Amino acid sequence: MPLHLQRLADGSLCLAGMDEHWRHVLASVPALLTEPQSPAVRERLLPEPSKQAAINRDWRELIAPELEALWRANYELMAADLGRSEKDAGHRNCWRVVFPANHAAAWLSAINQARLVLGSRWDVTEEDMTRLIENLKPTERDHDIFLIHLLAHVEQLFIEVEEGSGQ
Amino acid sequence: MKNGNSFSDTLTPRAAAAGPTTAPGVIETVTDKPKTDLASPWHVIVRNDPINLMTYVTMVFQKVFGYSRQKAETHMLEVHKRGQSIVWTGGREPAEHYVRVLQQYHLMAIMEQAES
Repeated sequence: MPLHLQRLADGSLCLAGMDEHWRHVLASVPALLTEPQSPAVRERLLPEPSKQAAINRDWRELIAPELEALWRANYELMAADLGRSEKDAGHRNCWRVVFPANHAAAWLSAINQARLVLGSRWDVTEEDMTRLIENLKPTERDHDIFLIHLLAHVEQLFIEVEEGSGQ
Repeated sequence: MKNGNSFSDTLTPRAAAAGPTTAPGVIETVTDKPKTDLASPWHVIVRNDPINLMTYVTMVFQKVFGYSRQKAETHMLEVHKRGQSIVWTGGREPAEHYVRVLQQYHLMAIMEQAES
């Protein structure tokens, strides 16, 4: 059974079809975001918003901590939901997790942030992202580029739900 | 965030140089005129990055600005093809708000004052 996200009759969301591989991929998101970030990653996540020093100073002091707290709350919510995953009785070797629909934005934020962290960590380019997956090499960098693609698949499931076109 | 438009910023040199014009002993009534932001507007600009999905960027523009799908896609494609797009123009405080929200969604958003 492929990984899929569906809305249940009571309005909650169910991410199902998680085999061990997908569970590992999804668990890597909060784990990755909990790690201390390099200056390059921080610069990508919190770019200076202006050419004016005063605006940038206010931003660093007031807005950046607020955004970081929001993002932390998002990946912690995702981690808590994932912690409630259970074996899917109908599908051998698969897991599922049910969570309130209003958690979808937090999942989407955390998954997208994890992709950006990986991309910034390795200075991933447009060219890297358009390489065929078959052409990726057994290196740590290409492993993480592959992970960016896998997480894009999950992210798209959440985008479709947010847009109301999900199952 | 602080607003840079203090009273002294909006006092024109001509008004400042004019000085009192009433005769001695006459009390002048000063009426507040409506405050007008004479400064140039601010552009909210989103820059391209290789990671964010095109569908994601479109969705964010729709959510943040209430743009139609078509308009959101037009801006997204401009970001993708030209490297950046001016997604909104207006006052400084709303511009700061939009940059904050766009960065919350992890878009590369900045603000620049339009050339007057």
